[in-house]
Amino acid sequence: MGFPYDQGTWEGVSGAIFMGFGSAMPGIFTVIAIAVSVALLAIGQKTEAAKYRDHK
Amino acid sequence: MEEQLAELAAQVAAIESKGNLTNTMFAELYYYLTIPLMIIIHAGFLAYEMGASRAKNALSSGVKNILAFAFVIPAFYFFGWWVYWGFPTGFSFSEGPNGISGAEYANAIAWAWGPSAEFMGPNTEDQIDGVFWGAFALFAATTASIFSGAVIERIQTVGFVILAIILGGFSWTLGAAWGWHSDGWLVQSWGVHDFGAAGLVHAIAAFFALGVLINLGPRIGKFNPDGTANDIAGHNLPFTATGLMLIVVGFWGFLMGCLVVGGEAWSWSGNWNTIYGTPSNLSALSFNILMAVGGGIIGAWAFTRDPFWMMSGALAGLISTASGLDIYWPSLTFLIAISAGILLKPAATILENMGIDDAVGAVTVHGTMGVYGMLLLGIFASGYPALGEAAAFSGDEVPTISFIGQLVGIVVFVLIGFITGYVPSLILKMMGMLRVPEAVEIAGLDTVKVPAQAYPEGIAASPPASS
Repeated sequence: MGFPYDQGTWEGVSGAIFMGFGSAMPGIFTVIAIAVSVALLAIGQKTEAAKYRDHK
Repeated sequence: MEEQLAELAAQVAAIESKGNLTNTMFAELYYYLTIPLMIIIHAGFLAYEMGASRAKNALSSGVKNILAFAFVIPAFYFFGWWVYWGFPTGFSFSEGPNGISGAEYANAIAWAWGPSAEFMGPNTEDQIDGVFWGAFALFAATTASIFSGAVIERIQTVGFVILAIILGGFSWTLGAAWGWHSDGWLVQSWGVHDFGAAGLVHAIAAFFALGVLINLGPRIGKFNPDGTANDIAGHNLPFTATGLMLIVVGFWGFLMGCLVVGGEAWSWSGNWNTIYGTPSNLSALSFNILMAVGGGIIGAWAFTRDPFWMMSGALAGLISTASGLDIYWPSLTFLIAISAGILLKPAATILENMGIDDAVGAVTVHGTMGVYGMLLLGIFASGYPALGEAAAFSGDEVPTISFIGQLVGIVVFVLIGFITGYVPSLILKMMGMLRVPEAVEIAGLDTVKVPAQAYPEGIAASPPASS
């Protein structure tokens, strides 16, 4: 993603310092994080339901 | 002379700059420290719930509680923070009188994408948003923990997590936007005052739990065919009582987070304020929190002699006075807390007689006492300004606390909690995602789905060493 400021130094840097600042990357990672959370819940429900079915 | 004056002015400016920096760093550290203190609340709820469960369900209750924390935090990051800043004026999403609310404002500071991302991550120019967000995220997680205890031993894990996300990410946040924000319509129009969140955290979480409990139903064996209730004892009362004490410890952090540090970026003035911009300070909290805890325990002890209810009484004392911990006279706090401790067990019995199986008394401790506390403040603090001068609607009269205003506030909080708990849990029930099958409940949830044992060697009594 690269350093978000023009000069490759921390000298004079003031403001956001996270990776991807100023680009679309933070938003893309956020969307991926939401999708992963939802997917893990779906997988969790599937495996738990299987355990309930196995226990009759 | 002029040179000396200029030099003096430069020195004053330098001192002022250093003072501001010190103040900012103190404020940052202050809010940061509320976060680990509030995590102690979760350690307490974890012990409380596991101890209140039967041995066959101890670990699954723990898993559920831990997952609530884990999912609510990112949910609050993804959308909860936006709800708090976007909704204060209601569903219009318009800007409030102080200009720190509405969709446009929330879009500018609270989404983790686009231009507002700079306020949602590491930033050398922003030392307050992250710690302020963190404190609020822990309030959100606390609501989920309150709800979690009520539904132990029969709720499905993922169904529970979905409900916890709704509660922590939306329900309580909506209540906070309306009643715990200087632009909130309940504050501006009705003078609602709920300093320590008795209504907007405790009552909302408790009535959310009540809405879910109606759809979830009681544990097998809780009620007899004639409707009478059986006591289903947890497997470890000492663990439960210790957990309750940990919750009390954590509440010091929770209530710390309800104060705004004077002079920092979010504050209304150079002094300590509440979130409404009204005056208070840590000294006020020290007086009142300690008196509330003592009173609640004594009240519950007088009528139950039971350590579970005594420690629940400590929470009842805190919650019944939370709305006014900033301004109550300590002796009055003590009296209210005693009354809350006395009312606690009868209130729980009434709920049980209505066929509601609230396994840990969460609806009573947090809901009934939250309502009680909100209304009492309306009586005792009637006429007090609900907003500080700087936070008030400029040019208009400052709204004042009143019984009617507190009544309106608590009715709104109860409805937010109940509706947002009842409707989603009904949908989950129809989807078969709410309650575990009967055979699983009888066998024990740990046996069916937890790959570990709580007590692999049992709980054997060991003989004393020979002298």
